Amino acid sequence: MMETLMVAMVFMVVLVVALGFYFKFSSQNVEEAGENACIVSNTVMLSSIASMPEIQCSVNGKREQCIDTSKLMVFDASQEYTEFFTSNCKQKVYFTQVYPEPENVEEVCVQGAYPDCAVYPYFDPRVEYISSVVISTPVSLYYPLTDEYRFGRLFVEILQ
Amino acid sequence: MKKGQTEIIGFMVIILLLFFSLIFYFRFASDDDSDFLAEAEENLEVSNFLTVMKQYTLCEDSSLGDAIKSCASGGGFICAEDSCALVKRDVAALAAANGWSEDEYMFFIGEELYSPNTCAGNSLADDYSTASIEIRLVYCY
Repeated sequence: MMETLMVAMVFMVVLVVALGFYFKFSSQNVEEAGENACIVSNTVMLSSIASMPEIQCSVNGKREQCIDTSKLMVFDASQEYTEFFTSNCKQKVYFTQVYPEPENVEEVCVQGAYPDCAVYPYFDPRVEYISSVVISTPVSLYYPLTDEYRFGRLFVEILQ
Repeated sequence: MKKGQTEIIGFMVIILLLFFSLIFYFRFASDDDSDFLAEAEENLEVSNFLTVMKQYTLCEDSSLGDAIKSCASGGGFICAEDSCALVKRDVAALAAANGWSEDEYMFFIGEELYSPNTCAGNSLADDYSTASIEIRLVYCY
């Protein structure tokens, strides 16, 4: 009788410890899954941002697969898309000119610096963050003043 | 050793085996997801890079897409230069700007290679047709 009780007790202790480890491990997995879901949704976003009508090139109403930099200069995404960019996880979005390489690769494009600049901020939630994961994709940047297409990149910086 | 002690060891071994097999299962299950995501990102990269290449302006009224088309049609002059030479030079320049080394990609017009090297291993490709000839960009990783 005593032996059976001892076995049951030890079994319970081992089970509780194992369950404790299991739940700790599963909660880590849930966190990782959350971060992954965020990266997946932002990877999809890489495609959808480049197709936003407010910044996409269009000739006579026909859309082209490029970003019109003159539209980027005047469109304020924080007015229209705050919910879109912050509903799942917070991210910073910006475009950079890659080639031809700009003279100053960190020069932010503002009125006066355009078009001889490198970085076009698109959305910034202006929140503090500890680290970030950056994903990016090539985009074609169109300069209507010179009717020129240059090589750029769209960056989505996922803030953590 | 008493019967009870043997049973305890038996239970512990079973529970530990179950626990570690669960850990391994979840670990490998999550690895599959990240592979899929990385491949989706690379696919998008190759597809968008080919679009950028087609549109890239070489000189007034001429794009790299025009040079590719001219080269695919048998050659000619774009921006006062031989179109095939332009394609070779500017595809390499754009790929380098994108951070690709010479053995990470291949660019074909029809069956002819217009990039400095061939590449091997896993690959992703995207293509389009111009002048009835297939233009193909292959990225190796």
